[in-house]
Amino acid sequence: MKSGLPLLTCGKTFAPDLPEQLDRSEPPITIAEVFVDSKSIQTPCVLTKYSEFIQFTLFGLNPKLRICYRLIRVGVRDAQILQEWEFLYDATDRVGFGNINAIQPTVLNNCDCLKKGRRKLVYHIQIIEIETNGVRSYRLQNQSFTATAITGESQHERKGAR
Amino acid sequence: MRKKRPSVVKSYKPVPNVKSEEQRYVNPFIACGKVFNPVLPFELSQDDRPVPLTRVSITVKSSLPTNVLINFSCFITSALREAGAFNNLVFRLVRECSSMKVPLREYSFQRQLPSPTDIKEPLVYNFCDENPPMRTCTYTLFLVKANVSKSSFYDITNKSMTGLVFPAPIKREDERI
Repeated sequence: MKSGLPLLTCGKTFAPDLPEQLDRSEPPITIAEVFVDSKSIQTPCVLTKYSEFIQFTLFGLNPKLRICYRLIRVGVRDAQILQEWEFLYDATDRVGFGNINAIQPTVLNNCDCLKKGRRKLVYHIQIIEIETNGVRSYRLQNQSFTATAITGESQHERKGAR
Repeated sequence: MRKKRPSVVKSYKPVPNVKSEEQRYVNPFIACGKVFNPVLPFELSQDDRPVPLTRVSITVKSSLPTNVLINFSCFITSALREAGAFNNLVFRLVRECSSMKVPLREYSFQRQLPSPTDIKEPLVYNFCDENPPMRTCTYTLFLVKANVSKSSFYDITNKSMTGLVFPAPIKREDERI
């Protein structure tokens, strides 16, 4: 029986050493994944929440940090790109103004209502492109990736219908 | 000494024509919002027509009290092309329940830097709406003000809005009494 109650799954995150450059033709770097099985939920929707802090130190002329991410959903038979997004800091300046130290909070949510037959899924967050210039150091910290599987419809609850 | 219960304590009564067997509990659910992609104006003042960015409609099929958690997220591009250039934006969250419009909150975004810089950064707003007045309500996030310095520009991408509906905790009499 479908209990209809929402499910929260905590995902895994990875903090590999990130390269100074990454091209789209190279294999993407997976930084988070979460598994969802929504079979107990009627008309399920999956709300994925990814958050991280990008810590970076820039120096010199024309410092630049650009990171491209994507969220993909992998089913039994297929995989689909749900969203791509980009973090950019690009100071094209003739005069440098010393070191820039920053810790940038980043949050990306995605709401994904599932078609019939899609029950067991894995969501991945990947880095697909990196461009740096004058970046002394940068890393991802305090990553978190969760999935809430929950119904997309308001429904009456009958007593004893378990 | 407290003589009376505070007047803010509400009591909820079940709708009479519903069998008492039903609707003991409202299941949590989610509503994914719609995203609009309008051409964003270079200048927008409070007197201009607000630009809708995202909208989510929520219908609760139960008379029990619910709380609604609205989440909005996006990325903001600020292309600041001169020293001291700025990008100032104001957003407004509006709730509409059968043509009764209530502005719930205004959010300001400001970016100003000493040298020319391009930034693309994320923005997240959460709003918890405690027991909205009707069973069907629509929440819209508008851009209501944009003020960007000369030769600079801005953009708003990766917009997303969701509404999560949860049963509201039962309000008891003031526990301090």
